[in-house]
Amino acid sequence: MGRLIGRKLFQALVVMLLVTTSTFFLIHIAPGDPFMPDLSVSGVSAERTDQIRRNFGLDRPIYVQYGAYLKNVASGNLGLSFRSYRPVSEIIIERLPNTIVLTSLALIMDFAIGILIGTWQAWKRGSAGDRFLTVATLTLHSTPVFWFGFMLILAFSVSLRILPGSGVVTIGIYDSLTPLGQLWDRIKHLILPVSTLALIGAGSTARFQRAAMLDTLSQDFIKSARARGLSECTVIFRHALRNSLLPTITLLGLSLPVLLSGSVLVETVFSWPGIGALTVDSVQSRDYMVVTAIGLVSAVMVLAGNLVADILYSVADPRARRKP
Amino acid sequence: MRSFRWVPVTLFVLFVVVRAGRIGDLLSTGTFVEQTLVALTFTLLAAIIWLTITPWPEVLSKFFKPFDVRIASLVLGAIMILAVFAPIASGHHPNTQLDLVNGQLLPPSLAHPFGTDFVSRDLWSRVLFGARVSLMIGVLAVTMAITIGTMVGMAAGYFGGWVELVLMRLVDAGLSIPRVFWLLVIVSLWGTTDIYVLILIIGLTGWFSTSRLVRAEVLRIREEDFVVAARGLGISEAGIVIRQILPNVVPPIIVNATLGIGQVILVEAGLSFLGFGVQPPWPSWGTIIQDGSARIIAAPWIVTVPGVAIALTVVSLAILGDRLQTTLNPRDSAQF
Amino acid sequence: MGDLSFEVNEGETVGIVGESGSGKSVTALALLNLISPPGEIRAESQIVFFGEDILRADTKTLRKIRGGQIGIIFQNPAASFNPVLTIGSQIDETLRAHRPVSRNEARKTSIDTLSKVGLPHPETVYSSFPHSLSGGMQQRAAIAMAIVANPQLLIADEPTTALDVTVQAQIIQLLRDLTDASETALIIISHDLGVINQIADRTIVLHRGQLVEDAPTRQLIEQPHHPQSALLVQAAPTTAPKFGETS
Repeated sequence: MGRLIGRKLFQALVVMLLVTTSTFFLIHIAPGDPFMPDLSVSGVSAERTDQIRRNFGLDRPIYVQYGAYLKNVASGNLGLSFRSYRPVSEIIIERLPNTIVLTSLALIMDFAIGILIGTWQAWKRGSAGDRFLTVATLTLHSTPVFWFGFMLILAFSVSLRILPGSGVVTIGIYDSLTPLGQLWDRIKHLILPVSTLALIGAGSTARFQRAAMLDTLSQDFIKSARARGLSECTVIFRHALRNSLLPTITLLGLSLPVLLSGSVLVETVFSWPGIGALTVDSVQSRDYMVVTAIGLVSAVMVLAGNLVADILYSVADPRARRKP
Repeated sequence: MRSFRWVPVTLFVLFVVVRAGRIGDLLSTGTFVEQTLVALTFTLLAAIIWLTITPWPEVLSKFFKPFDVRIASLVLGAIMILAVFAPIASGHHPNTQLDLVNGQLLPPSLAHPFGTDFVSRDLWSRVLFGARVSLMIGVLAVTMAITIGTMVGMAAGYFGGWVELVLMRLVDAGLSIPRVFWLLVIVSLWGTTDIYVLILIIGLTGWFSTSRLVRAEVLRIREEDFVVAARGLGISEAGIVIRQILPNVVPPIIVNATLGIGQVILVEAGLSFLGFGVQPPWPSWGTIIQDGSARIIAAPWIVTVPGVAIALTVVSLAILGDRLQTTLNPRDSAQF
Repeated sequence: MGDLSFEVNEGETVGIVGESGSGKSVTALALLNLISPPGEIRAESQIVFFGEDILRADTKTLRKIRGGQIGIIFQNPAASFNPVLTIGSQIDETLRAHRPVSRNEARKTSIDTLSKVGLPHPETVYSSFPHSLSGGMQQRAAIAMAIVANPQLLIADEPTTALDVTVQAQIIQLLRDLTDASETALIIISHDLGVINQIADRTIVLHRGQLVEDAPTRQLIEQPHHPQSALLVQAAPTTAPKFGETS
């Protein structure tokens, strides 16, 4: 187990280095830099622009910049934002909790719903309910996540007026609420964005889980369990469900990048001040330092998720424990 | 269900009859391209009728047997035909602002089946021309991604060693960053407005999972008895790759491509929605949703219609992809 | 598969033999009403076990018979066990599905049974996962799981085919010891008349889903009536495994 984690950590380090390097070079070989369009238009003199470039080290050769950047990142310094002159780490830390709350709640709901539906479908294979859910999950799987967000806003915020469709809290009245009221206000704002991400994801998860469960149910040890006179309940939940969850655990690691991609769109739709919305903002304003840092942070989140999935897998499957 | 074959032809004849007036207009006053398109309509009509009355090969009629496959093909076929014949199917240019005084944000009606947007453009025309853009991006970008992914996957699976190690760590890195992030960075930094650059970029960021799939297939097939036997018979390595391994990785690649087109359509829509994809005034399904999102309360249909179009297209592609998987996979042919 | 009719008495050991595809394994599964669709047992068929018709029994009775009164051993020992659960917990659950025993009693009985089937260190086996045992040990554990609830009938479907020749002999010996020591009847299914000969009192020959001969084993070997039986007798290795077969 220790060796497994060690190996995975080393692999993660390599991947993170690759990610940092590729985003860094992608950004730096791109034509133009952040001070080209904005400052010349706003009437700042060429000398002043050059001065700023020098301050940020942008006049140095690219490999020197790269070396300096890696050294800074290794010591936890992500640099300064070109736009707000604030430390990038400060900006990220300000936004990160919003995204983590959004995506982790969505992930839990995604897998809870997906596994439940998929298992039920495989158990009742061929029934009317199974066929209906097959169409429903396929449709969710094929729906643009941001469009689905708009549809939920239309239904619940515009027509029914029961849930807020944007922001984290109700601006203006939040400060005057009791602590319990504040919590309820936050929950209300979470429901639509979390549901958007989770339901779209649950479509894929349910399809996956159904296939995994059907595969497990066709295996010999299930026949053996039935031949031993175990109850249907024991066969399904103790024997089949447990084994069918193994591939789904792998899916958990794979679905994190998809979820983060979705959160970029969903945060924009719901004006959710998280990393996703920050990505769009800083890409628009060419805030290199923030963009590179977001790439790194996303990779860390994804790799951490993969590591958790690997550990879960080796806990659930005794056969995986022996192999490195 | 032989009678089902008559559904497409009936729909197509209906299309030609209903749009007969427009066809006449285009023939007499249209540009050369539009006249060619009209000619193409009749060629296609003839082809569809011919396909309907001649018997189909066993493989085809088996492929189209399940009900959902028929519906999916019908929907996808209709969307593709409407996209190709968009100038015939719609009476307006997608960017024409018809009536800025009285024609803004009109709800769906007979004159404007999907209503109009905030600068009085006809939404039906925009969705049809948007289909052209979205489908073209989907097909071209996937072709590119599949080509790169197959080559990388074959190289990694076949050569092994450090080639495999380097390529697969690269794929790991590519897959561990959300795709939307890559796309945003590249598109915004290059400040592109050109649709072909967009296709290039979507293609370049879409091959990671294909190469994983191809590598796994190659690794599996490389150890199969018939490959070992071929090697034992002294067939060259190049011969083995081309004659033994390549044909076996083609079926999963075709399935992967079919599903991939749907995914690219979703990605393009997302990117355009964020303002980094297809640039206005040209419509793609994503840009239409973005246009409409600012007026979502006053004119909810602008956002709704292109989303439904996307979902229908992607669902149909997924159903056909699943069907191809069961049909093309010789290991599953027992259930076929 | 065609029509088939035979009976097994208490304490008797019956062999079913036939070439591959002759319907031996289907028979074994049919005895427990475990045929999965699209296969089905014709409606007028009957499988009577101590006066109870298995094909018409309700779910509860069927569950009581499966594992409780009829135990089954499969060809592939790995197929008997769920790979993610320990051997012990699976034997325990079989016992507890049929006998009202506490967790501790179940554990004790399971370990006893594991040692009865000749497994060294039964406690270790009890808490290990299937993949950590060799094929022969897995098959012994599978036998333990099949007999833990003291069934009146044991069905062994090609119990030795997937094993090494030396292990095969041990497993056959074990099955013999177990059935001799109790009143348990045994149906042993094999394509190898040599295996059947070592253990079965009576042998049924199947050919293309039809029963072609039903005779005491000794008589069958000495004077096969049906040409198919004669073929099988010729094909069987006479006494010991042939030279070069041990791997």
